[in-house]
Amino acid sequence: MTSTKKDPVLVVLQLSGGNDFMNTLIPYNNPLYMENRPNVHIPVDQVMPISDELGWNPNMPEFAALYDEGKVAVIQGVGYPVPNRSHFRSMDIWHTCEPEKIADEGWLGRAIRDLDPNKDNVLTGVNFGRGLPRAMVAPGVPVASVGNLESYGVLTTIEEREQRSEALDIFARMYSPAMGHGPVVDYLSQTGMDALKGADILATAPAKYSSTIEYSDSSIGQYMRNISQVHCAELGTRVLYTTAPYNSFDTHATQLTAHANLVKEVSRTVNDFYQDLKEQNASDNVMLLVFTEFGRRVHDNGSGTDHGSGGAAFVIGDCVEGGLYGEYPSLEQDKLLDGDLHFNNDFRGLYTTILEDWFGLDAKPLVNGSFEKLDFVKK
Amino acid sequence: MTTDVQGVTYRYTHTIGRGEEAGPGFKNPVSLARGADGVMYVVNRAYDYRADSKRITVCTVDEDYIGEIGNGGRLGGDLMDVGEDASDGSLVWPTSITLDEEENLYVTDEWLNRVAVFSKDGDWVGAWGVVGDGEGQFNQPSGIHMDLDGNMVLVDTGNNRVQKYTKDGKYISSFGSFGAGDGQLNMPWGLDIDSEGNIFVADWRNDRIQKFDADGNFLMKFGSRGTGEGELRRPTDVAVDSDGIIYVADWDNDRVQVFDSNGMFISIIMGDATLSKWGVTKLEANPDMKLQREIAQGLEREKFLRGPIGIEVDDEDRLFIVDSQRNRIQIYRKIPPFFVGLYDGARL
Amino acid sequence: MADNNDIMLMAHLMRRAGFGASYEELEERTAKGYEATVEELLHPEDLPDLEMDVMNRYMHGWRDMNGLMANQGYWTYRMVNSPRQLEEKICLFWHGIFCVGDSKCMRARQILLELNNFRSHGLGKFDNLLMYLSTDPAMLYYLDNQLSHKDAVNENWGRELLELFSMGVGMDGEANYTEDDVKACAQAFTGWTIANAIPRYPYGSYANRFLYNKFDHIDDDKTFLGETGNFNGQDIVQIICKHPATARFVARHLYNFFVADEPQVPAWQHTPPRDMELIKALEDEYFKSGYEIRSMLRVLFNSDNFKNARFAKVKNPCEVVAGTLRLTGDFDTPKPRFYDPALQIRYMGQDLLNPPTVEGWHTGKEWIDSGTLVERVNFAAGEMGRTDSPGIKSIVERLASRADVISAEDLLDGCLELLGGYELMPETRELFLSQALKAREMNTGSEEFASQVSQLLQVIVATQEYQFS
Repeated sequence: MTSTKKDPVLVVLQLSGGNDFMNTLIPYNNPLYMENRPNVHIPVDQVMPISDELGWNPNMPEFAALYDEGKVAVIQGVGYPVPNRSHFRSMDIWHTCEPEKIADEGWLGRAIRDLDPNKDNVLTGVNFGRGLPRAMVAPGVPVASVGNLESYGVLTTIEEREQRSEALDIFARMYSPAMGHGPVVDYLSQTGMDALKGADILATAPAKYSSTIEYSDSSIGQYMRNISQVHCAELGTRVLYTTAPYNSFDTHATQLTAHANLVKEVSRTVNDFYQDLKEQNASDNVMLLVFTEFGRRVHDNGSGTDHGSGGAAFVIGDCVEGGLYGEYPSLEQDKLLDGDLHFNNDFRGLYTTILEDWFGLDAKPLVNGSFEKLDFVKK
Repeated sequence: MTTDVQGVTYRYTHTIGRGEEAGPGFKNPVSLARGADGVMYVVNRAYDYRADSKRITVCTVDEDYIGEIGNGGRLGGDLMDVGEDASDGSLVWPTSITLDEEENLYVTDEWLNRVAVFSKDGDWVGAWGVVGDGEGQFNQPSGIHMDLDGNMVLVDTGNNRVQKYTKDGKYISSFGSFGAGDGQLNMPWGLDIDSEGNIFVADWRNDRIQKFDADGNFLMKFGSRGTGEGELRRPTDVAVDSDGIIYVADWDNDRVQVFDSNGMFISIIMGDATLSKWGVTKLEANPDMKLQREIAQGLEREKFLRGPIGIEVDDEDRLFIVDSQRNRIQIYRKIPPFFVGLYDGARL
Repeated sequence: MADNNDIMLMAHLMRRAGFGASYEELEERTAKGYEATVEELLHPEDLPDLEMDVMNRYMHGWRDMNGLMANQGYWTYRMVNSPRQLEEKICLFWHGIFCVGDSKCMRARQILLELNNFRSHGLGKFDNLLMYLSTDPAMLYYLDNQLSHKDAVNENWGRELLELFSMGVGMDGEANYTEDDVKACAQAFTGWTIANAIPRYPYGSYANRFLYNKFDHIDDDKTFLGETGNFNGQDIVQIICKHPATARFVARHLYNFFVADEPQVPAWQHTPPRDMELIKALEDEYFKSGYEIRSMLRVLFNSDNFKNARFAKVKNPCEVVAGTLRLTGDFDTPKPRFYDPALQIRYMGQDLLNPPTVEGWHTGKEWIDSGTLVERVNFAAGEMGRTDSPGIKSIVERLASRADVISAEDLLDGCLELLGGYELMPETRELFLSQALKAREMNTGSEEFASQVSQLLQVIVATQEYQFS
C-alpha cells in the first residue's frame, strides 16, 4: 500500500425485525405521541432529552453519551417510496436498492467489487453470522461468512486436533489447482483455496487481539467483538457486517420490556465497540452504520407495535459529524401513510453519502441512481 | 349463533386471542385449564423455530391479560431456537395442563419427558418424570388431568398407556397397551375425567374415544375413521360436562363433535369465531389490515375451527375450544335442555 | 448378485431422478432393473405417499404451513423420506423455473399449494401445468397480475410467462417473440386475478382464491405469435405450447436439471445446447406425447447421453443436504432441531420458497463460492461423523463383512462405492492413499474401525468430487 492514511472501513450492524424509532428517539413533548401510544410509551420524565422535542430512550445512556460527544449522526425519517411491511422484502429493498423490482445483487457486494476489483484480498468483505446477507452478495465477489471466529474453517467437525490438521492438509492439497480437468474444477479448486486462505488468515486475528473491554455475551456483543478483532488485525478488510438475531426487533407484544432490553444491548455494544477501537488506536478509519428495515406503527396494539415504516438509521464514528439529519416524520394524522410515519429521506441517499464521501466510490451504479447526499461525513 | 339438537343447545359466546409471539395473544395453543375467578391458563406450543413464544398465557375469560409463565426460547443464531434445554421453567414441547386444588399448574412436556410444576403465580416448583417404558416411567407424556382423589392421571403416548401418579410424581398405577382392541391404545393424546371418576381417552391413532373406570377397566368406545357424523379423524382431546355429555376435538376434520353419555352422536360444532377484544385492538393499530378486512371476500371462513386440539368444560358448563391453528379460543355456553323455574307466560 | 456397474448406474439415476439412495436401496432397485425403476419413478402416484399425521402432531407448524421455516422443514423431510422421489425432484425442478418468493407473497402456505400442484401435475402435460400456473394465486400476486386491468395493463406476468416460463427470449440466435407479442399476451390475461384476501391479522393467513373477472378482461382481437383472435389466457397457453421454442425451452431446462449443467438461461438465445442429439429427441417427444413431461423424462433417463453424464453437474444445495441425509438415514422422527437441515440448505444459498428473483437460482458452479463451499463441506463431514447413524453403521458393517483385514485401497474403493460410486481424480486418489490412509492395512474387527471409516468418509465428502452429481 502506498497510501499514507489508513483505508476507510465500514461496519454494519443490522437490527432485524424493525426497530421502533418512536421509542428510540422519542418525540416526548408531542401530545400525539402519548395519544397514539396509550400502552407502549416511555414516560416523559424518564426520557433523556437532547432538545425540547426529542429525547433518547432511558435504556440507552451510552448511546446518548456518544451522541453528546458528537459521534452519532441520526438519519431521521429514512425509508423509500411505497413502504413494504414484509421483513424479508423490506430488508431485500435495503440490501439491493431496488424498491420496485426484485433484485439479487447487494449494494455492499458491488462496493466490495469496486474496492477490490482484482480480488487481491479474499477478506475484503466479511460477514459475521450464518448465511450471507443479500447486501453482501454479488456474483464473483468472495465474501467470508463467519459463524464463530474462534472455530471458523473447513472440517471443523473433526474434533481431534491432530486428525483435523491432517485432514486440512489433505484438503489444501486436493483443492490445489489440478491441470486438465476443465474450468469448473479449476473454479472449485480456486474457491476451495480461497476458503482455506480466508480461514487461515482469520484464524490469526484473535491471537493478535487484546482489550480491556468486556463485550456482552449476547450474539451482537460477541460478533461486534469479532469485528473489532478482525479490524484490529489489519487484514485489509473493508466491509464488516453483522445482524441482530432473527427478527428480534419485531416487538409485536410486551414491547416495553423486550424493546428496553434490545436497545440496552445495542447501546452497550455500540459503545463497547467504539471504546475498544479507541483503545486499539483503530477508530479513526471506521464508520459504523446501524439500520433496520422499517419503523413500527404509530399506534400501539395494546402490548406492542406492528410493522410500520419511516424508521431511522445511525452512523457512528470519529469520521462522523454528529447531529440530527433529515426531519423527524410528522405524527399528524393527515401526514401519516396508512397509519405509519411517512419517510422523508431516501435510504439510497444515505448509502450514496457513505459510498462517495467515505469510500470515494461512484455510488450511482451501486445504488441504482442518483440520490441527494447528507453531509454527515467529516471533511 | 346457536346449535340446537335434541334439546341440547350451545350458544356461541365469544372468542379470545390473536396470533402473538408474546403478551396478549397465543401461538399454536394446545391446552387450557380454568382457575378461580375467571382466570385461565393457556399452553402455547408455538413453533420450534420461534421458541421464544412457547409459554403459558394467563388471562381471564373476559380477555384481560394477566401475564405469562414458563419460557421456551433463547435467542441464538439465526433462529430463536429451542435447543433441548431442560433447565427450570423451560418448556420445549409443552402439551397439556391441569391444576390441583391450590391452583398449581402441572404441564406435560413430551420432549423433556417431564411434568413441570409451577405455582399459580408462575414460580417454578419443580418437575418429575423418568423416561422409559418401565413401571413409574413414561415416554412422551401428553394429556394430563387431576382425578377425584387429587392424583394426576396422564397419557403415556409413547408406551400407549395411561398412568396415575401422586401430585409429587409417585407412581400409583397404569393401564393400556398398544393395539386396536378394546382397552388398547395407539398413540393416545388428550384425556378427561368425569364426575364419577371415569377416564375418557382420545385414542388418537385409532380414531376413537375410549372410556375406562377409575381403575382402568374398559367400559366403552365410540368413533371410527371418517368425515361423517360421529366419525373421527385423529381426535386430540375429549371433555365431559356435568350431564355426561361428551365433547371431542376432531382435529383432522377441523371440528368439535358432541356425543351423549352413551357415545351417540348429537351434533357438530364447526366454529363461530368473531373478532376478539385483542383482535380489535390489533386492527385498530393496523389501519391497512382493517381496511383489507372490510373488502375481503370469503371472510366467513374466519369463523371456522382449524385443527382444534384442547377442549375443556368448566363448572358452569361453558365449553372452551382451543382453536390451535387460529391462535384463539372459541367459547360456547350450554343452555340447559329443560326450562327450569317459573314460567311467566303472561309477559311473553 | 447385481453387477457393480449396474449398481453405480442406479446410483446415478437415483441422484438425478431423486435425492440419492443408500446402498441397500440401490441393490434392491438394481435387482428390479433400470428401466423398471425408471417407470416406477415416473409414476409416483402409484406409490404410497408419506403419512403425515405423526409428523403434524409433533411439528405444530406443519399442519397449516403458514410459516416459511415450517414449509422448508417439511420439504426437506419429504426430499429425504418420500418413496416418491421423482415427485419431489420434479417439484424442485419447477420451483426453480416458475419462481415465487415468500419475501413478496408473505403467505408461505400459498406457495405450498403451488408446490403441491407441481407435485401432482409436474410430470403431466405442459399446457395443463401452465394453466395451473396461470391461475395460481401466489404466482399472479408475485407477478402483479392482480394489478393488471383492461384500462391499465401490467405486463409483468405476460412477459415472464413467455421469457422465463415457456419459450425463452430466443433460440438459435433468433428472437422467439416480439414486444407486441408480450403486449398481446398480457392483454389476454387481463381479468385473471385473485379475490380480495383476508388479512394476516389477527388470526393468521388464509389461502387466496383465483378469480376471473370478465368485466376487467380485454374482450377484443389480439395478434399473438402470428395468430389473430379474441384470445383469452387459455388460448395463449395453447399457442405457446405448440411453438417449437417451447419444446426447446422445456427440453433444455430438463437437460440442465437432470443431465448436465448448461450455461445460465439468458445465454440460451445465442449459445446452442451442448447435446443437440438428446435435446432433439426430447423436443420430438414433447410433440409426440402431446407435451407430456413424463414421456420426455422417459426418453431422457433411458438415453445413453444421460447414462454417460455421471458427475456432469454441480449438486444444488438440496441435493447436498437431502442426498447426504439419505445416506446417513435417520432424519425421520420429529425433534425440536428438525429444522437444522433446512437451514443448511439456506446457508448454502437455496432459500426454498424464497428464490432471490423471478429468474430463480443460478445453477451449476454458481452455487459455489468460498462461503457456501465451507457450509457444504462442514455439513457433509458432520453427517459422516455421526457413527451412530444407521447409514454410517451400515457402511462400516458392510466393509467389515468383506474381510478381516482390509487394504487401504480396498477401504477407499469400498467407501466410494458405498456412498454411491463416487470417482476421484487421480491426483486426489493418490493423496488419499499416500496421506490419508498411509497405505496401511486395517483390521476391520478392531474397535477403532468405525471411527477410522467415519474419518475417511468425512474427508471424502470434503472433496470437490463430492460436489458433483
